[in-house]
Amino acid sequence: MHELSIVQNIIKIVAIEAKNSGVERVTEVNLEIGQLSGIEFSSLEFAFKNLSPGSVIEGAEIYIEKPGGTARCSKCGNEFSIDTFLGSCNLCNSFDLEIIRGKELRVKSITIN
Amino acid sequence: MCDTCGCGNPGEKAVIRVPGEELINKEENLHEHEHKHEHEHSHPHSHDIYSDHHNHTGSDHYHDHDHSDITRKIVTIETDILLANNLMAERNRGMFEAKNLTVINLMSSPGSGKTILLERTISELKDNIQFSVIEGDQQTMNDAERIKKTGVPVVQINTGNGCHLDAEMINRAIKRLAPQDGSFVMIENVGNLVCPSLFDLGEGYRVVIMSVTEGEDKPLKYPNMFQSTNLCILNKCDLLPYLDFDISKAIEFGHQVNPRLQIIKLSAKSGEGMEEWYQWLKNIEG
Repeated sequence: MHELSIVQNIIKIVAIEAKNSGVERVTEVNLEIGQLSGIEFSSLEFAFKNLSPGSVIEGAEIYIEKPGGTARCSKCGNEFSIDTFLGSCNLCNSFDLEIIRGKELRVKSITIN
Repeated sequence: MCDTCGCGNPGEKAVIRVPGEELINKEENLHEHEHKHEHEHSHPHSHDIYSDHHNHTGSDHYHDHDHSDITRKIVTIETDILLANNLMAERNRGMFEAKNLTVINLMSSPGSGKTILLERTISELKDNIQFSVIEGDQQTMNDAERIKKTGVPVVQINTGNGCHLDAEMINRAIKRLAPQDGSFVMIENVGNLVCPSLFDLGEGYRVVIMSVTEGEDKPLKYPNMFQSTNLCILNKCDLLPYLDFDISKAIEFGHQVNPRLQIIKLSAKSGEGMEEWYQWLKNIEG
């Protein structure tokens, strides 16, 4: 359940930006959370439900972009889509893969009124 | 995790003690709750920014909502969610470098033998290597008490209901521990193969311990953990004759997830294979 820590961090980051902008609540939070980032989205939703009340994101719409995984083969340089850490290069079968997309964990923007 | 609202507050709640030290200020562990229950909960949903349609996760309904409010303003943030932890981890790393500390983050599922591995390692090497230990568990001083018997400095972090150690806890614990320059600091993380993998503590090396009483497919089931580690210790190898554990399969799975993963087979109880682990420690000594 590290998703709780993740949501706490999101709220902290948003709270700083909201304060800088002189508002107490935000209306939207835009996140980018990759599908290989180790986040369980149902747990994340649970964490939002529990941590939002009374916070800067209470009542805010939470939008999540969920980029899929892309790997680059360290042997032949082939880039291809993956949905787990497992698997091998679809050209040369090497397991030596570098994950170049899908591990994102970012707060992209907020919307304020 | 707080049992009132389900929120975990690992950085603020963790209690750091040395063996024998009483919990003096329990209030420190409490955090405030402001709970109103007459409100709408926010919820994740995907969204098409060019129209008013959006799709709620976990439900099939669509409805319009108004985004025409002209006063709304988008503030770009583009900040890593784990930035605070990662910055603290880098501060820790700088401190470890300045003090020439070799810091190892030991992770595994509960019961794989992390503590007995530490006990034996410290007992057999302490004449040549200076160790100190940070123990991480949700509750109890049990592991710290065991380590204390080996005669090396130890502090216990109790995370309450937190499922992992984070960089801020290590920053606080290392100040209590005050390790000698040039020594080894062994961090025994909370027994969990999921969450600790995501939190950089500032360590120099990550070691995952897997015991042969577990399934050989652990690397496939917990790839985040095995992908981020330098070394995998296969513990309890003295039990292999009594088990169906296929060690070559475990190694194959480990290398599928992480082709650079080093693997050492040993038994912290019987002592077989410990020499290879000691050699690994000597090789990485700062």
